[in-house]
Amino acid sequence: MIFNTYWFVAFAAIVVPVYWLLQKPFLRIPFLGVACVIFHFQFAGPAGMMPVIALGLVTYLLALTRNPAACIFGIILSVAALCFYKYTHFIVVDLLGVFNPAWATAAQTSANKLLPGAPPLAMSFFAFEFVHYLFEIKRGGTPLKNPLHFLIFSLFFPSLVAGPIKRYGQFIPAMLEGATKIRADDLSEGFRRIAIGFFKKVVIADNLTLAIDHYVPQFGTLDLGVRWFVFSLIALRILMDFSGYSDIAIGLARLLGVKLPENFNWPYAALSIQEFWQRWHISLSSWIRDYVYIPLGGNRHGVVRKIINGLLAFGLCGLWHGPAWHFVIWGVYHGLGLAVCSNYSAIPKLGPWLSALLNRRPTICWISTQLFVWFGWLIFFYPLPEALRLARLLFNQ
Amino acid sequence: MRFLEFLAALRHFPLSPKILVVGVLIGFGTLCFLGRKAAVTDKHEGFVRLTQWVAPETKYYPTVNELMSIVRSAIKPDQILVIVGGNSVTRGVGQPADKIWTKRLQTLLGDGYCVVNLAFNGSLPTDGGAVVAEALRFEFPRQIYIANAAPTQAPNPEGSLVYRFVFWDAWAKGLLVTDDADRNAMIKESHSNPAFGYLPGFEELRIRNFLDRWFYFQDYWNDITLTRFNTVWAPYFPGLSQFLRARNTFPDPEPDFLAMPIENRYIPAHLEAEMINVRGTSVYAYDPVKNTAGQWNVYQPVWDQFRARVKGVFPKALKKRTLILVSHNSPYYLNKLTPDERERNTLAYDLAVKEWESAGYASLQYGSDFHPTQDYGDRTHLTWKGGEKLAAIVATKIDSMARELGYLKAQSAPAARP
Repeated sequence: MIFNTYWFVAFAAIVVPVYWLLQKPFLRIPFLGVACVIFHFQFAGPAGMMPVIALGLVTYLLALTRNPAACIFGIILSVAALCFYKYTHFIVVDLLGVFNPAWATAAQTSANKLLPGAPPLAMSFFAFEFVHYLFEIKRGGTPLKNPLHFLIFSLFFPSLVAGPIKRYGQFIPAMLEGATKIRADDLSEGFRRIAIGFFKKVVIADNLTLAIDHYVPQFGTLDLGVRWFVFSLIALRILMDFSGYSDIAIGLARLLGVKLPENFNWPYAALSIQEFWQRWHISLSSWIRDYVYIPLGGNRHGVVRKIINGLLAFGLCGLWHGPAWHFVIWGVYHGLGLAVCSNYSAIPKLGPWLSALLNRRPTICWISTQLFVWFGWLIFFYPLPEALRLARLLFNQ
Repeated sequence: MRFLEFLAALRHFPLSPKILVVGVLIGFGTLCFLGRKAAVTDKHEGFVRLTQWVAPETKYYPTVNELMSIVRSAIKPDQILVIVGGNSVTRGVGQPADKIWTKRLQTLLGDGYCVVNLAFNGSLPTDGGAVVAEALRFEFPRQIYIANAAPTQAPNPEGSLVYRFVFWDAWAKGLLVTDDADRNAMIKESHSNPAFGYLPGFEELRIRNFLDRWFYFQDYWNDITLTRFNTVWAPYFPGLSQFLRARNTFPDPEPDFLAMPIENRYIPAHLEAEMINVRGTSVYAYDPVKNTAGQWNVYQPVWDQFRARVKGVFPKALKKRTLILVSHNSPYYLNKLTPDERERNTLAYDLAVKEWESAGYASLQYGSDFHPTQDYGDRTHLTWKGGEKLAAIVATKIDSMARELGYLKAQSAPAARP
């Protein structure tokens, strides 16, 4: 985590007060731009920065043309860059390798010569934000003319590493407002969110990570009750880790007077899978909805198409989290859950009865939703055979 | 309800940015002040050794100030300070707190000395205790530092990767010798060679230490976790919730080797692996076979490197007061060596002691004539009975060192810091 490095603490301790002291927007905005570049350089290094700068420059220039074909080209370029840097190994070894291992080996050797040791920092976030930007311009949005504004939108340091995924239509006005005036409310809310975020991340999530890493390898030797307890800790850990990070990002942005969109809203209070995805990683799920699910046709072409679109969108959502099959399976698992959840009431006889029962008994809805989500975390964190083994152990002595 | 309403109203209370910033600064300043206060107050009541509760095994990172405070609260005026560093062997693994060898050493040395055990598990002679002794060189100039090492084990000047945080903490606070050319060159070398693995994370460590020098956050948080409540879980803590207890409420958990069945200490299934370790102390230091005259020839590159590192690993001025114990493996295993291997082993220990002495340190070896199972708890660690024997050997050496160093001539006041 970048936010709990001493470098970042020192960086923020300098940048935030200087930003406050500058007071005038014509000073604050360039200063923020420089700070964002320094931050990105520190954690991405020159090799990690170059692809992002190149992609950003192309995105900025293509958007200025307002030409739909140019925007589509830019979108394809962003997706291709993401696939190249993050998914080449997965595509070559895990996909191509299934059909022809010899080709996979040859392609992997060639790819290794071109690929850096690790993908550029936060490549997934850059790609998604650039795609969103070009998509909106193609739809008739106004491109950002000021390159500094585009640079800050792209490299805004509080949200650079783990989101929330920004929308330029919301971010730029918020950034300009912050550059004009920072209110006491911004500072108090910013500090509050940062404190909550660090508590969630450092005190709760990091401790849970240590405990889970210790107990999961000996899962089979634990008492059944302890297994369920550890199982619940896995669910708690990812929420605290991810939402803690988002809280810090939102709080830091708020110290600069910028309101970022919320990313989590008590997801474990959800009574259905749909509701869960309205509460969990909101900026990602809404991005998937707006730029994958709806363009695929959404729910406009019948139930079968709706289900297929949902599975595709969630498969991609899973893959976004990492280039491995268990992420894809996790996404498809949620896509299936969503399909069942949104269509079960149409099943003759059983559907209306079940729907009436669940409406009367929200506790059943809550328990079934949470169990579904929590079992999903096993698939998310562990390779499928291991996830299934752990799941089986929850029911066997 | 009224209280909740009050809290809700407070949230919307108009607060000027200036007041908020001043409040944050006052709060931060207060925490720094408390950290500074904690840094000079010893909270390790009844200190015997650094247990796992106050060591990196359980994610606790004692500061150099904290370790210096332990020494300051233990020592009486006019006592000669004896700091024990080294690894789990000198830390007294397998020796209960009331029978630990350093207590015996204190008894043998008498009131003229103060023995403080600052050894960490798995550390090098330059870790922890070495840093504290160096940092206290002006405050307690009549000091002797003891650590243990294996033959040809050449320590790094900044300590091991796990414990180097103590060295750099002291360095950032200006407590160490910074103008020792040999040591500085060795540090530079270890940082420039990726094989040593010292560079990753170093920048973070330096920034942390720079900030901590001014803000004392590590001392403050150590104080909280030691005396109020702990916040970091580690597998050593019993159960999932016990870790929240203040660390100084946990007893010293060291078991007594002599109360354990021998097959748990000398595990038959581990015999081959342990013999590889035992042979390993000398096998790389000599040619693979004896020469035609029936003698073992040293493998020069190993000893050249050892000699070069020993030369610069401690500052010149502190070498004479440093006693390096070259620790033998248990005779339980030594007796299983072939006569040739045993001869090579003896040569390696003799030569290691000679090299340390040639470089200006005091050195001695121990253990080859100890009882295999009564004095040794396992391959490397001593039982409290073995600890008593070690204490006797070390006490004699310390006495002679103290005489040579002139510590026993006058009971003078601490020297002024230049």
